[in-house]
Parts: sequence; C-alpha cells; structure tokens
Amino acid sequence: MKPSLHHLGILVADIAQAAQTYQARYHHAVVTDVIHDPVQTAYVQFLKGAEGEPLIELVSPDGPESKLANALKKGAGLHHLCYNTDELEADCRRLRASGMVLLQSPVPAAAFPGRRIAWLMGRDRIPVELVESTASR
Amino acid sequence: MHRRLMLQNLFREVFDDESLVLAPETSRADIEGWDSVAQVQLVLAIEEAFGIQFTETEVSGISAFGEFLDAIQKRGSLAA
Repeated sequence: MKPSLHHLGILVADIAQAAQTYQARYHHAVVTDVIHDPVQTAYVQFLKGAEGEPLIELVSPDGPESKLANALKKGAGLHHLCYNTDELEADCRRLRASGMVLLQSPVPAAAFPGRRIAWLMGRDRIPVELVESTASR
Repeated sequence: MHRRLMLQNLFREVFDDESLVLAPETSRADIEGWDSVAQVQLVLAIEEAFGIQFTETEVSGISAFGEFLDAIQKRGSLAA
C-alpha cells in the first residue's frame, strides 16, 4: 500500500500554549499526553481535526541541547511531514534512490510504541518522517 | 573541470556566495549557515554532480571541504 500522510509536524516553543491555540482557532482536539522522545530530543503532542484528516503533531525541544533547539531559534512553524508506511526499509531505500538523504535509519519512537520511524530530506529542505503502520516484529 | 573546482562551485551554489574560497581544512565552523539542512543540500548536490552516493555515516560525519573531496576522490569519479 502506498504511503499515506499521517501528520504535519509543527515546531513550537510552548506545546501547551500551541495546543490551546489550535483548539481555539481550528477546533482540533488533543489526542495524546505530552510525550517525551529522548532519541529525538523532543516533546510532542498530537491533535486531531476532522475525521480522516492528518493529525497535527506539536513538537518542542526537550532542552538547550535538543536537535531542535537551533531550528526553533530560526523560527517556529511547519517543521515536517510524516507518512505512514507498510514497508519502512523499502520506502527508505526508494526515497534515497529518488534523491533524498536518509538522516536517520529506522529507530524506535516513543510516540508510536512498538513502531519505528526514519527521517529523510530532499532538495526542498522539508524533513520527512516515515512511521511504520504496524509494530515491528 | 578539476574535482576541487567543481566542489568549490557546488559550495558556492549551496551557500549562494560566489566569493567563497575553500581550503581542505575549511569546516562547518568557518561557513555561516553550514547547518544540518545545508549539509543535506551539499550532499545531494555533490551526489548529483559527481554521480556518487554517500553512506549514512558520511552524510552526517563529513564536516570539512577536504573530507568531501577525499570522499569524492576515493570513489574515483568523473574529472581528475
């Protein structure tokens, strides 16, 4: 099955404040607690909108040494796209061959228990996250 | 065109600075804006221009002009 858009990642300085804003403005609903992902050095929280729409993931650095700290200094905003995939390794190879760079090979993700994520980027400078649809064996 | 000149031209394109002059020891600390995003752009531009593919270790590990040049020359690609 082809990859499907799972969520849009929005980099913010304050997740609680951003969550309130998205709820007030766009009637999103919070669907997770704030999750700490030490591998990604980030706090994240997911919101949903209308049925069938991709989720919103609010992302903030987990401290001054976070991989996201420099990006936030340059400005909050749309940070990444995330696609669901049934074939994580195969899609990593395919996208690498298509002109993207693999920034991070598949690793476990705190926000998706039992499932792995990978990161790539192409010439358009948009980070792309791939998340396994189902738990790894 | 000599590999070194080609590589320098790619750096100039990525950083949009025609005045850049690169030495082997020129590193991330020496060029403003050489962050992780610029690193990806450099990698992709170099891979396309030289017809090579860097390993994942090289993508994150190379941090100096000379290291890119060594990686290109190791693969013996295109112009001498």
